[in-house]
Amino acid sequence: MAPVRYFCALFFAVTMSLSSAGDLLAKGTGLIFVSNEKSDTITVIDPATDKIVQTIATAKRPRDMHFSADKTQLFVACGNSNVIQVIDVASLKVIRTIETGDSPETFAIDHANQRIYVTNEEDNNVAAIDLASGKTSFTVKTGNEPEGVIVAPDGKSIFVTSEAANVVHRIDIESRKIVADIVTGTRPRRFAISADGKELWVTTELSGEVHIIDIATSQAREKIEFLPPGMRKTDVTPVGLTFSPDGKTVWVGLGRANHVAVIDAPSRKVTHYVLTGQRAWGVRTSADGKRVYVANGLGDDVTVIDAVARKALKSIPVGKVPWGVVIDD
Amino acid sequence: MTDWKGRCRKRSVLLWLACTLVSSNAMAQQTPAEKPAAIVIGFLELENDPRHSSLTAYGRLVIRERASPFDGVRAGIEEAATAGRIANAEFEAIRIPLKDARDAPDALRRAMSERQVRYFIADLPSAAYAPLLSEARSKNVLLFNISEIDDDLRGKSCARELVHVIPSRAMLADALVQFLVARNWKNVLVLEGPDPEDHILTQAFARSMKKFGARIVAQKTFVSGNDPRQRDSNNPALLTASSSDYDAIFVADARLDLARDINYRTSRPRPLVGAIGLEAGAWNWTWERNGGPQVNSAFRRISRGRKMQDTDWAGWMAVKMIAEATLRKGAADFAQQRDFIVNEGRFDGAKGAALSVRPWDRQLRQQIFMATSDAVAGVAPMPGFLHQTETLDTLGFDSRESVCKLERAG
Repeated sequence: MAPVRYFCALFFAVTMSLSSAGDLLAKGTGLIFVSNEKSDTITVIDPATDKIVQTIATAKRPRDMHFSADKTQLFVACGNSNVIQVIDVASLKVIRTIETGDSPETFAIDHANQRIYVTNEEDNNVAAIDLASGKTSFTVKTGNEPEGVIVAPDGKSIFVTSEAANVVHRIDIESRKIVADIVTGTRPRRFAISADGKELWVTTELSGEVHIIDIATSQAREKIEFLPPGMRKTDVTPVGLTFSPDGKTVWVGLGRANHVAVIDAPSRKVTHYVLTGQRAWGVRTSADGKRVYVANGLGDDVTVIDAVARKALKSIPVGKVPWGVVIDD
Repeated sequence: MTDWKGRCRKRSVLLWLACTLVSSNAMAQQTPAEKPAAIVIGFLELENDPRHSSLTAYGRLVIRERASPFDGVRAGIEEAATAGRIANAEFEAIRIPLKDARDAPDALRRAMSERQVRYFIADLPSAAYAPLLSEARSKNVLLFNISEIDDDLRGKSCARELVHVIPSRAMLADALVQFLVARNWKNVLVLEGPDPEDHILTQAFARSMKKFGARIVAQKTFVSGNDPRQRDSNNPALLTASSSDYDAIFVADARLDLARDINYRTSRPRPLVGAIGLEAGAWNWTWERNGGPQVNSAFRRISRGRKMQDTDWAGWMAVKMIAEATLRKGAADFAQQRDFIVNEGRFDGAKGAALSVRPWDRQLRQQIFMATSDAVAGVAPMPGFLHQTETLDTLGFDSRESVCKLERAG
């Protein structure tokens, strides 16, 4: 019977995709890492139980976190100690400390895993740090309060937001120069790049938008606005954002609006708003696409969301002022 | 990035042309084909302005450091370099010191004709504005008030050409009363000092108390001194002895003459607000969020160690508004920039909300900080104070209350 055959085919497809996802999962521990900028710790959560399995002490004010390409190491920028620390993912211990400029907030690791680009919000520059030596190889002056930084898909340039100047700089790595300035909404914060590598999405906190920049031409193309039910435009202060693993959905933390927005990426439509805790910033989806974790900066907790049902499941108390979430999957 | 064009003493109005203090050059990373457009900002100030003298006490103690807010303007000019580079503009602030406030119209006229100045940042007392505004009226010019909190300047004396970056006295009083009401400290004892300014402060406070449904249980005037015949007015314990209880004490004392001697000498253990203890202001050096630390540390570097005061913040903010208008509307067209500033502009004041100019009286909407000596204890609008369209308009004179009707709110 046709339905049965259809079901079998579907079952086969699901099994296949599960097993490939299983291979991916086998590479990681699945652990969830939350940086707590006011308690100088990283909280480690087991996704199976949603329980805290470890609290790692870091240098002062840990904020942005990224894994090395092989996911054996976790890098964390500690703004008040002017360092990036390296945590061994297997032992959950700090194994290395790299000096940075004044007050590092966010950073990016290049595709070759050789260099870190880090914004120093007090020095108003972005620094390129050689990973092997830990030495700064060059810096590029930016507008005031540089924040978000991301490496372009072709690896030849980086994008940096200047929160105070309301622009995104495109910096050519070889010439170490700003080659384009893209004017955005007010207070541009963080980046995400679309699955096809063609679009750069950036949150603008005070104008309450996401701007979409065409990477090939460095031109601002579109913007998306948000308004959760019962909220005012002025409550909407988006900061963190992330693409779902299939690239079709974007999750945006709306800050003071205490919601995350769910955007259907192809149509640019906001399809759902999910209630979170106080001041939702850092957002991350699990590799299987089933869960979304949101750091609530002023609630000292993390909201766990069922990504399929678009519903909040629970909140997990973490440290003081949780900033970001990454997952080892 | 900052190009110092020479050290400069304060000079008379006749010599100010030679006196160029600060300019920001476009960063040399991109070589623009055309020479950058010069956007010159005139900084109108009084020579020997008493408002810049620190408040001192009997023992030659500096109780409150005060200084010219030109340091704030310099911080703004430095930050504007990025907007200048992108818009191919060069921002420059020139000091225009006045021997007498009556020289202001002449100085304005000369700066407009000789240096094509369209933007003026005014650090002037209330009395200087009437002749200045009559000179500015209907001209292609925009003034920014960065230090005068007088409500009349936003009311019966308001003008289309004047944007108020510093909050009004009514906004500050409303913020403080919102804070009290939010804490449920609704019964307040008022102590008023001998300065005429103290009486104005009390009036603004009383208006806000009525607006938000709080109650003044008693009001007393105080004097400083030890005269036993005046002990009801100079003794903190007797001043604060009241048959009906109160939750807090509001002290109106612009010169900080007595306020600091009242704290901890009260007959009931109640917090002081107003002149000391907890003060409402546009800015605070302890603000730790929304980019506040970066604004404060840049200012500290530029001012050689000062803590950013309200007027410094307003000077910085005024330049930021001009730079933002230049970035969005281009360097060439003043009229478009001005329209952007007063109409569509949404500005980042490092306080966490997008700030904009009220259409009816040209007051910059903004949050107000309630600060102790070392922390921001509250930010108004306080949670729970709502408004039909714009929560920031719960502070100060709303469109329906204001006697200034430059434009009716949309």
